Amino acid sequence: MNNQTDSKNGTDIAIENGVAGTGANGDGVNETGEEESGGGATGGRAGKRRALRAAAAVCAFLLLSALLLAFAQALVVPKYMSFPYEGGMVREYYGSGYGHSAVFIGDCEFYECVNPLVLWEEYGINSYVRGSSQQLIWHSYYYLLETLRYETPKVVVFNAVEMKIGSVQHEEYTRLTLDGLRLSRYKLEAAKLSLTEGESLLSYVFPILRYHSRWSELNSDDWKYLFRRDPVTFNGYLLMTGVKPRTSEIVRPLTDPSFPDVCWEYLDKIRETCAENGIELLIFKAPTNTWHYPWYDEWDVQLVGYAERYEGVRYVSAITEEDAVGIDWSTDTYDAGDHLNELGAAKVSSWIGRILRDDYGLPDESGDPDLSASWDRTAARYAEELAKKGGPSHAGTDS
Amino acid sequence: MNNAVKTISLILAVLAALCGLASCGGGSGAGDLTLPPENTEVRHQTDAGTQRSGLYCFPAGGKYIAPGDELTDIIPALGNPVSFEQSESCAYVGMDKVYVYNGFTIFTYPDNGIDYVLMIVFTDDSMATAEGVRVGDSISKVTASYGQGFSEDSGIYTYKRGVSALQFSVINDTVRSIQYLCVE
Repeated sequence: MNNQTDSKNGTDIAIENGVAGTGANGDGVNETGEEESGGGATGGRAGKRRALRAAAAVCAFLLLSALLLAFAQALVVPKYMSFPYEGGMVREYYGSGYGHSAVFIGDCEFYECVNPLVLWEEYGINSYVRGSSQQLIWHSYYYLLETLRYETPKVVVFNAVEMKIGSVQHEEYTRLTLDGLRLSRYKLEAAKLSLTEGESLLSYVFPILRYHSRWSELNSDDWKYLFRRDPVTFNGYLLMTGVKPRTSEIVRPLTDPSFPDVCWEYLDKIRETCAENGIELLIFKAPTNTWHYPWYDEWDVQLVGYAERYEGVRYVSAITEEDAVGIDWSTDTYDAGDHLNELGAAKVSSWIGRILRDDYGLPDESGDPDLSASWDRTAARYAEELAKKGGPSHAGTDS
Repeated sequence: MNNAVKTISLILAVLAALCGLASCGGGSGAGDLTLPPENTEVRHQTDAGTQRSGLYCFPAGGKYIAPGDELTDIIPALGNPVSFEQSESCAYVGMDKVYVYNGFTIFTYPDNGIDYVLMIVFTDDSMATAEGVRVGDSISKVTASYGQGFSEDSGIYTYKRGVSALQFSVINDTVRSIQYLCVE
């Protein structure tokens, strides 16, 4: 027992190590620190104990405050377990097991056009799509750097469409792209380059600074997913099963043949990073091309020229290869051609999988029991989700 | 006892601070959106007066339409379009729309629930710019009308005025398309 009595404001509080009680057998000090009994050494020990108690109280207070803030933050940040699912996909990468031979980095053209499950089933290629809504090219660069902390793929496939946009269009998209990233200097660098007026970098470290106003809008998902999330993708692929044919004949004219300088700058950084790490860089344009999200021959020419200038870089466009890909715009899109549905994504994946196998020599890893077991689980979850969503699928079901 | 009271008071103070933090943002105005919009890029003009001066305008329906104009008053003046299409951005952030009229097409973009003119495109030679240039005219007529203050890239001649631009896509010295658009 190590008891002492502290007299403050006329009230005695007796504290022992973890047990409160009235002081007995203890050395007492009054509020001025004068010894009530015992010698000078004892008084010094009592002072130390008081200092320790104060420090412990401060620590406990800080810890409790931090826990409360962490709880409040976990509560108010958007969970993205319903539309828009795009905000929930980024964090899933960290549970993917890594070791992918191909990593796709890009925006919606990738996470709705490339289905890693098809790459696995048809070629045994273990891949992942690190996608996010309107991912900008510097986001992709930092995604790449962050990816290299966890794995070094043989091929990085980069989304050509990101060459179009050289500035942040909406803060919302930045949040969807960066909030799910683990805190690292890469996340902060990407955020720093994306800040819009009035935004603070600190809000990417402490999202509660951004989302505190959701306090009054909390719903059941905020409580249900307070400390966990359900997966919303299949190795980064967001399953869309609707069908809305592309029928529009509207043409949006080219207004700027040049890509922004910042896009070239970060394409160079991506290329150099890949080269330094022995990674092949495949720049890829998905087959989508509409008035809403147009793509032009003038842009193709520039990327073909870029790829020709550098070893280990290649550009392929599924627009110019549309016949080979086999896209049918009456069945393979869910939003009139802006994005692909499951049928279209399967065709693109099958096509690009052949390139990855034949031209890049990516291995068939279907013989790996651990990988196979992991993909079997993904396939089972996929089938379940497909049945839930309904609509046609490449496997031939139409529930 | 006193210390316990103080500790509890401090915890309550932290909770109160959190509540204050939660309430200081007020309503986000986000409606059903999970993410409240806070800082969206604002490209449109809000002062109707500045829209007419210092911008390239397209005369139609008795109005002068400029890129960045609110769409609200424009469509009633122009009448029903021949066709109309809209497309949602991935994730959300509103609908982009296209209004197709005989001779021209208007592309719009949304900002905080309001549609603004992004681009006006002449689709045939039935429409003329305020200075009288049409699809099919020569590049010399363009420069005679608008001067030499253009930039050119891959056959696209661009004249900028304020947040608007007037473009002429030229092939073999002939104007193939004309568009008014917003520039940043």
